[in-house]
This record gives sequence, C-alpha cells and structure tokens, in this order.
Amino acid sequence: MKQLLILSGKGGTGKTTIASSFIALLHAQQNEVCFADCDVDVPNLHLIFSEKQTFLSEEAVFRRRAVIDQQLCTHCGLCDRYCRFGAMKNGVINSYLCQGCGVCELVCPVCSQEHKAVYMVDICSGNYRVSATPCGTFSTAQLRPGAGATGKTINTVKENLRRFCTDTPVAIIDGSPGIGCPIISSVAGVDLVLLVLEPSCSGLSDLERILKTVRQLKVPAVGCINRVGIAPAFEQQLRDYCAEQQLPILGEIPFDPLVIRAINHSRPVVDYPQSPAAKQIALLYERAMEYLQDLQ
Amino acid sequence: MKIAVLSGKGGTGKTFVSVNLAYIQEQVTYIDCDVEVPNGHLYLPMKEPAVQPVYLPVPSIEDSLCTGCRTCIDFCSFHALCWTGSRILHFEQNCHNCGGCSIVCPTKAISEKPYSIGNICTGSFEHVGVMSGSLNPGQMQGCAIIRKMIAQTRDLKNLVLDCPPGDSCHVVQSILEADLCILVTEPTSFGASDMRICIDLLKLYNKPFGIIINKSLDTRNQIKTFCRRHNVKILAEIPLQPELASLNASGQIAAKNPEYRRVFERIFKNAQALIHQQNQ
Repeated sequence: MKQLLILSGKGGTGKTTIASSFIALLHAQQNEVCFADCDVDVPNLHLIFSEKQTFLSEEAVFRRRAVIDQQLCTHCGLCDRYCRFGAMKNGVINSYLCQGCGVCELVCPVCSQEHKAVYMVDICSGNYRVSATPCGTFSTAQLRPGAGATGKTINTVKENLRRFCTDTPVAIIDGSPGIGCPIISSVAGVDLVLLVLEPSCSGLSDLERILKTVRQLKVPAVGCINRVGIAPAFEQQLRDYCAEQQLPILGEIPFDPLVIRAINHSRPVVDYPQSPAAKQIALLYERAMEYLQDLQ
Repeated sequence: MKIAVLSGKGGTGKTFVSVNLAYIQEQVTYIDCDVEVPNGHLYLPMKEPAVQPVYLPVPSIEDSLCTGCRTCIDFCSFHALCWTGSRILHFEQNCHNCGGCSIVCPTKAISEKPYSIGNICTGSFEHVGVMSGSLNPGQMQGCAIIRKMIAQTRDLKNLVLDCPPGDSCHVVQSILEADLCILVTEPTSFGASDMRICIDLLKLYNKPFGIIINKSLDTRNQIKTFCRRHNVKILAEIPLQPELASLNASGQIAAKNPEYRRVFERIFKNAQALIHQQNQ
C-alpha cells in the first residue's frame, strides 16, 4: 500500500478539501479505497464520508495519567517540583497537561499497601474507529475535548489502515496543521507528502517550516497552491521559493466559492463538475498519482 | 485583561483577530503561542528583538557507569531508551524530557544536558509589546516554550494570546490564565464542528468566551443558529471581503484603517462587557 499524506503547516489552507476530492476520485476509478483522518484533535473528514457508514471496529484510546489519593497526600510538594509539564499545582493534577511520564509517582514519598499518594492509571480518552463507507474504508479516532492526540494515537490510526486494507494500492491520509508531535508521527512511514500551500505571508513562512520538518524525516514532498487569484504577488513568491527548494508544484487551484458550498453540503468539491477548483483538483490528482506510482 | 484567541479549525483568522485586537489597545502585549508555525511577527515585526533560546534537559548516558540493569528502559513511558546489547541508546524523537531516567538510574550513569528546542523573541511594534515563541523543526515539546512565555508575562495586565489550532496541550497551556477566550470560527460545517469541540474544552475550564464569525457570507449560517440555541455570545461577524483578505494576506494591520479599527474596538468592548457580566 502506498500512502499519500496531505499536510500544510498553516491551518485552513484546504487539506481536507483536497483529501476528500482525492478519495472521491480514487473511488470513481477503482473499487478498493482506504483513507484516514490524522487530524484527530479537530477531525473533519468524517463530516463528508460518515453517511451510510458501518463500523468495522471500535477500540478505546488509553492514556496514562497521574491521579492523587487525597487521603494519602501530605502536600509535601515533591511531585510539583519534579513535574516538567506544569501539570501539578497545589496537590491538584491538570490531566490535560499530564504527559503520563510517571516521575511524580516515582518521587512520591507516601505509600499505602496498594499505591503511592500519586499513582498512574490508564484512562480512556476516546475511541479509534474504522468504518466501511460507500467510498471505502475509513480509519480515524474520536477524542474527548482536550485529550490531545499523541504520536501513539496517530500511529494507531495509520496502523488500522494496514490492518483493515491489505490489498488496497493507495491510501489517502488527511493530516493536521503545525510541525510538532502529531505531524512527525503522521509523516513517519508514508511514501509521499502533498503540501497544500496558501499564497499569503503566513503561508510562505509556514511552508519553510513544514518543508524543513518533512525533509528531516526524509520523505519525498510535492506541493500545490490553493486559492490562486487572491494575492498574485505571494503566488509568485511561493513558486520562486518552491523552485529554489526543488519542491515540484503539481497544481494550482483557483479560489472558488463553490468549495465552501460543497463543504456545507458535506460533499467533495469534485462532485460539482462546473467548479473551476474541481477541474484543477482532478488534474492535480492525476499528477499526484503518477508521481506516487513512479516512486521507488 | 488577558484574552486568549483560539479556533479549533486552522486558518479561520486567529492571528488576524489577535494582532488587530492588540493593536487597538494601549499598554498591551501580544503573545504568539502558535510556536509550531508562528505568524504574528509578520504583522507586528519587531525591531532588533531580544532572542532567548529555550533549553530542555535531555539525558546523557555515561557508558562507563552503566551496568546494563535497564531500570531506565523499564521506567520510560515513551520508549525513548533501548538496550543494544552493550549500551543504552537514546531516541530523541521519542523523549519527552521528563527526567525520570536520571532519577531511577541506580549508578547515576544518566545525567542531563541542556538542549535547545527553540527560542522566544521579545520586542515591540509601535506601541504593542510582542513576544513570539518558535519551536525548531523536528522538535516536539512546544508546550515548554508556551509555559515560559506565560511565566514571563504573568505580571502584565493586558495580554492577547494567539493560540494554535486544535485543542491539544498547547491550547490548554495557552488558555490556562486567560480571563476571556475568543473563538474565531468560519461559517462552514468544518468551522462549526471544530468550534463545538473548543466550546466543550472551554466549558471544562469554566472560561467565559465569545464567538467571532469570520469570513461570513450571506448564506445560511449554522454558527448563528448554534449560538442562539446554546446561548453563546457572538462578539462580531466579519464579512468575507476581498480587500480585507488581501490586506491580511500581505501582513498588514487592518485596524490602521479607521473603518476596520471600529470593528475591533467593538469586539473589545463586547469582550469587556462579557467579563463584566460574568463577574456579577
């Protein structure tokens, strides 16, 4: 299975719009399609593909977290002093900041027969989901608010693709914005990264950072420019920067209000053949698939 | 007032709102908490900023003291250490810099050395104080940079905290000390879905919050319906305008124009009213 990951650095540049269109186009050409949403903090791909889905698997996401037994706690403050994540404050744990390292439990001097005053538990923070949709097999995770995706969550979402789709030639993966922990995990092991670029000063600055991150991980990358026609000066700057960095631009997608309408009707924009953006996305798809097949 | 600006979905206009909301205030500091892809400094460029590197301690293993007992490997929750048969190997990619391995090592073979993960730039643009954190590509502990910025500005009265998208620990860290949160959303089903996730997070923290609907169109607006139904305050609705889009794309402060300045003054006033209401 060859995996194509769609990323951007900057948020809101059109990752999900392009991912959903690629999935629809793949589905139109062959029967076996599989895809994943690795933006598990604020997922959106399910808004387009959840109709008529049947669940194939649902497993709990567990995270290791510290808890305090207030009856045992003597408020000595050692855990507070050793916690590097700012998760301990006056004998109360902020479980959203706790990384589950276990240092607080290690340094806690008070112990009952069962456990220390601070001890680690596995708590359920959401569900991994694999479903069969009319467009193909879909892997994602649904987390409780603030639970935060970890590298492990992202890895499992991607592993589930391999587990449930053994004969599928191509997988489309929708990524999250940024360059940190979840992105590094989503890039690891994919065959090609498609960067969706936005012509703006922010888009240009973020491209530099995401490209550096992807190249550090030694995964080949290609790009496309979205919402062309709004800021021509930045479009040219993007093209120049990509040429300088030898990042192939596989397509340019015009700004098109129909994209917003398609999203609000929970449809991939390629379902609207009159859309100028859809035409360019279809071309981009052809080129990206060709590029993916030519990779060794 | 400490205002955190967040959104859930990316690209809805957090930085746009944050920099303009800072610009219309006096004695204010703008903090860019989106340390993975910071953009505020493009709008509020600092002249000769002070750059302070941010270090995290990483384990350093003295092979001659290591007895191969593997206590550190058993302790590490992040699989950042492994035994090669003759020595301990450390994987920086997995390490969360918790410091546990150096504590558990019975022969004190593991010490920690500082490692630079990014930096914080401090300076000003016109009358606005600016602080911008930046995480080096390939690093993961952006929270440490946010924590440091918040600790250094704890005594300041007026802050605008520009948060990253999503609802990760970075966002939690950024909103912890805010008096008020502003959720910037766009009227699409994606914007609405991500907004709802963020509202759930803000409710967990009991934070007063209001909504800004950005890039608003005339079509049916599911955000308004949601806000009416759930009694959520809309602070402003900013229409999708080509002029505004191109101003913002090129890194200009829209509030330099009196017409847009009024929009942000109204947002600020509504935000103040919201806090006032909350305190009663």
